[in-house]
Amino acid sequence: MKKIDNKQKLIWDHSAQANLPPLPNKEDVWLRLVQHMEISDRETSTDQDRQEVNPPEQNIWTLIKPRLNYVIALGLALVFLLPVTYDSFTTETVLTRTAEYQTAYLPDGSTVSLNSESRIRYNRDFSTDHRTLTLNGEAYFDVMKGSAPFMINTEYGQVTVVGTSFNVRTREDGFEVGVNEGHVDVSNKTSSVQLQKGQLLRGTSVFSKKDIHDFSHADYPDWMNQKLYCDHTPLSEVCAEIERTFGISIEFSNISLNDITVTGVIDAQDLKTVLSTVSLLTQHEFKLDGDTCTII
Amino acid sequence: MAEQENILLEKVKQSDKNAFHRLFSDFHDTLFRFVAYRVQDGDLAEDITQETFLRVWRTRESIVPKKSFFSLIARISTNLCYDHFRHMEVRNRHQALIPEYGKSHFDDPEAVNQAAMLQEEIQRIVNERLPDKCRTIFILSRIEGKSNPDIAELLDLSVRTVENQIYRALKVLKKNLKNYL
Repeated sequence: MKKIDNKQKLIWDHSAQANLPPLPNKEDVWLRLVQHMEISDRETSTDQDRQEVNPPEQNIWTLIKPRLNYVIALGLALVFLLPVTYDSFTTETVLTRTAEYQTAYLPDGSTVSLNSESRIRYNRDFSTDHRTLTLNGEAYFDVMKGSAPFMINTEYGQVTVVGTSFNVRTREDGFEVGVNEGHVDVSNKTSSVQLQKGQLLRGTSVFSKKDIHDFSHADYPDWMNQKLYCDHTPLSEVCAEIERTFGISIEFSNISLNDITVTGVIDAQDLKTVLSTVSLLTQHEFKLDGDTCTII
Repeated sequence: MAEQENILLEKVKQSDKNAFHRLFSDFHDTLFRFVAYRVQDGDLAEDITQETFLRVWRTRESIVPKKSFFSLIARISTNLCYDHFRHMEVRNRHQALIPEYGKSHFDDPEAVNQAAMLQEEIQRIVNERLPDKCRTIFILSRIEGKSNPDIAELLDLSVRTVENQIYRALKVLKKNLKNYL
């Protein structure tokens, strides 16, 4: 090993320091990467998909021959688990966690933008001929014109469209569908309505034409424009949305606070602005301490 | 470790996502730091890191399992960095690499932390003046703290080559850091 002089030793020592940006969460990066990988694979041939499923089968056959009795037990277990395992091989999932937004590109060219704590699931064979997905939470859809109707299944009902832009919201407090472009059918076992551009349906598992309103404000939906639109909205609902968007938790110092309603269009670009505005509208103090906010 | 890498790459060639996930887990952090040292921007480093792995996946059929994986991703990510720099104006690029404090050493040297300035100047020279392979080895050694034999194995080189490259890097650094030493 050649010798280094003093100056080089100084460089040697100092070069180990570097102000590097913080590491991102490896698993979050992986989730995003996998989505891109799948889109990329679909864009090339379908042969690669078949290859992915084959290797596991080969392993099963080499194990089966010497261990037949275990195979029978395994077979019985599979029969019970089959629907679940089949789904996991053939279902695509996109989800967002607290304080996350994500836009996903569907195989037919449509885009789905997910609000925080939301999830969509669709079958691998989703394409321009067959477009069905399941939604939990809230998402804004921009649907490409296609031969097959675009269907969204939610716990409250099914939303069917043919090429439009609209918002679907399913949370604990109820159901909302609002249309920016085109028209949308919303139905379930008991009810069925059609929404036109500029109309909004708000209800629960039972809804009717009475629950259709016209948009009274521009920039729908509010969350895509970094706002919170409130129209006699219960404070509990407003706080739930703030919790999901910013990843904090809000505590009410007494139960009667739940009954307060909020009306207004609140700028939701950052947490401090939201909290001070809601505080002003409700005439209560919002104390923020780290991750927790208490309403007094 | 080289044995396992071989096997994983073979599986990735055949579209095994789990094997790819293993490689991703093993190399993500090192690659991120490697890119971050070059571009000094967390978001950009994350984009380039992700794009690098994506490219490996897209071209998995042409992977040669015996060849060093880190060499492959170092090469791909370095090219992506060059692409990025080419998109920015040359003037902007030099601005991006100027020390944070915004003052050059021709201003008031005593007022600014000497050690921090030296470190940032080292980073600039490593990024601008070292040839690719030399820079990769130097970063693995100093930033990742890897031993020379480890680096040799990771990049599929002889230990002698690694030592020579480090010595060469130090020569270049010493020559360019005259004002700071």
